[in-house]
Amino acid sequence: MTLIEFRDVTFTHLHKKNPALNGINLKIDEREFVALLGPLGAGKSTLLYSLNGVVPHLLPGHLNGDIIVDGKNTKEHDVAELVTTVGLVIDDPTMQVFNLTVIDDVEFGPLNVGVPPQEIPARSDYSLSASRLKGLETRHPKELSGGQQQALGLAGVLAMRPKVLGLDEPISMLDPIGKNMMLQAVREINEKFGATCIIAESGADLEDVMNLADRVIVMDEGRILAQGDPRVAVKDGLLERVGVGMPQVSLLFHELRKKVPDIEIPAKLDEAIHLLSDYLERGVVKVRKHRSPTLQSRQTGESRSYVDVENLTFVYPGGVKALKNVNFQLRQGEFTGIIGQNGSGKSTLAQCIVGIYKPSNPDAKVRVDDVDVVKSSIKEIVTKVNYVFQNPDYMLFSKDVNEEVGFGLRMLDYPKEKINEIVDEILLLLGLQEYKNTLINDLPRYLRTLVGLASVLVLRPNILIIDEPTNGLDRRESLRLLKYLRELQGKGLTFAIITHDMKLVSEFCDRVVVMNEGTILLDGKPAEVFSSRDKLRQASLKPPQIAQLAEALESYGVSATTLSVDDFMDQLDVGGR
Amino acid sequence: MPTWFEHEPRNTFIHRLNPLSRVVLLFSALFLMSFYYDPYYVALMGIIAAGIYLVARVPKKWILITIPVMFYRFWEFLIVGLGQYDPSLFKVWPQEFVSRVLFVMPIPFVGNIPMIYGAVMWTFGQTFHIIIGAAFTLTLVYSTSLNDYIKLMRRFKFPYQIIYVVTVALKFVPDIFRSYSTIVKAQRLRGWEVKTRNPIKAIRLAIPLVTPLSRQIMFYVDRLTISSQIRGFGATKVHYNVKLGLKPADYATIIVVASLVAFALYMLIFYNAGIL
Repeated sequence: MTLIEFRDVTFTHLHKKNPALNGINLKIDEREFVALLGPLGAGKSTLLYSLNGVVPHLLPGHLNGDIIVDGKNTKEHDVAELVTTVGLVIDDPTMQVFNLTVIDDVEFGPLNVGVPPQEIPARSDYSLSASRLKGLETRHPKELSGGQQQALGLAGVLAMRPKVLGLDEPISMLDPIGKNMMLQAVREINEKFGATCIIAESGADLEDVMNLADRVIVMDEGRILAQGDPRVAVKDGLLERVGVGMPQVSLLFHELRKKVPDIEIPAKLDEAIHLLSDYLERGVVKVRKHRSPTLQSRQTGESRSYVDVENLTFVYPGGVKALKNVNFQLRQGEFTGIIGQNGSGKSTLAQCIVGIYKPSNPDAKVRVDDVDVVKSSIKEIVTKVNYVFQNPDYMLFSKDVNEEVGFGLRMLDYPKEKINEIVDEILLLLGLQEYKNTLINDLPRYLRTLVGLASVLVLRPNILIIDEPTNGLDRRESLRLLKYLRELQGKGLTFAIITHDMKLVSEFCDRVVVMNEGTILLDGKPAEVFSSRDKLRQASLKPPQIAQLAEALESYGVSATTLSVDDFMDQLDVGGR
Repeated sequence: MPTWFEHEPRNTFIHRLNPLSRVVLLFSALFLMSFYYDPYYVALMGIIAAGIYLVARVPKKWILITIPVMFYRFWEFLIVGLGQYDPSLFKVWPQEFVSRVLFVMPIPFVGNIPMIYGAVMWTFGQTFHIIIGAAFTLTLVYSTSLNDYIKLMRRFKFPYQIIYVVTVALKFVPDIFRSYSTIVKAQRLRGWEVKTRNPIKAIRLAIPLVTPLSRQIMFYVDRLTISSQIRGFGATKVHYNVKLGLKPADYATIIVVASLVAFALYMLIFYNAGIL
């Protein structure tokens, strides 16, 4: 039975020229699990927000057509009336959590919608079980892991017993196991409790979302480009074309199709395992006995250690021990990926290296280029090693790009001519020269990220640690940025990125450091790290999808250290080619 | 880890009290304090405030934020105090004491205005009201959760708009402090620091903090409005009776506080206890 219907819907936000939704006709049935895929600005969030009346009642604009949800036209019913029909989980769980204990927050929604007090405990119980938060009722939300915080956002919405659950990039900020936990909880809610689930995704978690979806809707520029079985989105590379990227298993099969034309293109890992094992058994595809040279891990020459951390312990004023006797080095010329679950100490370590935090133990040593960070001011460190926060909007304040990028040098009292010279050089290096006089407010997120990077690079640090550089970017923009950083590395810069995107780490990093509960659990080349499955699990991490496929097919001779589609293809012998 | 001005669930005597008892205790203290200017009474209220603050284990650094406010407002009160040069304004303390002149301020077009001891006591009383009031208020903030406020306000049939403002404010303030702290760190990593005593330059140096913070606040307010609505806030105007669930300790607290307030008011009205 149809639960949601869009009848020729066009919506243009107030003061915007182009419509966010353009001629949408769509029906979604009860109990469906739908993945809404598209790049940033495709209209996914607007579509989700229009389900519960946020569009047009809170986010005003011009709405043409009708949106009918559970028999109610959203034009005639506001958010307050629709909130018990449509529950919405936004991308930032902290925004949606209002209370200071888990149980208080879960009860907040029912309390607001006037659920009789005697009914509230049963609802909370159901929501906590479905979101896997049982036993954490009295915990402060900030004490929860990222996955649990997001699950709390979900539990708060579930307690209102909505028929439709809309999730706007709900796992973007989570570590891989947290993502998995959250998605499994959503799937369970869909299967056990019959809620219709619609989940929006712009690329970073494409594989995880597609693995669960019954149906996909691909959007771009406010229009629906395709909808149906998940294979619809991958069979002719539609997702790649719109900038969301393709699941790695689909990319692999596209490569195989070049050699075996009739091959099916799977959208999910299970389908890929099934299809490829079938081809391997039937001899359509064989695994080569000797691995080709490209399969070897990326090699980097050992260079001298530039950042040296010894016995570093850091305890937050509230008593949380974020780092426990950490020993760590960063060498020049490396591209390092620092991974680990939320709260594992990655950002704290980076902030200790740049001197924002001082070690809690007197015997700790933090040295950058032989300068003692503990005894130095931040100003002395910023030109040697620096750190970029994940949201560029925390630093950008000037009128235009030129002024913004030159700020750091002005603070260090550089002469005006020198500032202009260095700013021009950095803008050229990052391809931003054409935006030199552009107003900061007019820049899209990708360019603001680059400007943020330029404003720190202008201080010419030898090593730059970037926290979640691809946060808020879709797959196409993420790849662009990482390729850029790689190019800059070739020009002598050294980068360390803190990220949850295992695919990017495996594709771009020379070295991977895994942190877990304030310690370094693994440190090595990507192939070594991603083949240590047990330790990765311990750190709530999992390897990229292609490595999971390789692991599943290890019995056929596929190397468990496979990290990319190219690596995988190099091992396959397709019809003697 | 809680940030500035955010409730933290703890097991202190104050936290264990029913929110109604806490509100009665802290509002009564604030109410009484507003009448007291006599240094002895101000000191007594200060001791009570410090005691409650320590019992509730409110982070000590929170209270430090009132010091610059006290410093700023002291001068404002001093100016008002100058206007109270007539010793007959002070009814309780001996006239020979309150009329003593501490210093004389020459004011153009007005003449020489004496600052008398009575006015000095009033000035200091007003100034100390700030820190004492802040201690009571911060204790309430630290020990009371958002749901406690909502239940209490619903119980007493507060208008929806007021409940909404309280809800948003209690979420907004700590979150904005978090953003501010990140902005300061991000700018320090670009070499930013305040290294001037020139107020004009200092204002200019604040721009790298104020601009991103303003942007964050605007963005935050939008998101917060949507978040609160999708959590059903204001979805209904149904008022049902929330049980207060007072325990013996709450009854004892309310009775003791009410008795003390009644006694203090009696003393104040009939014996001028606490005024100058």
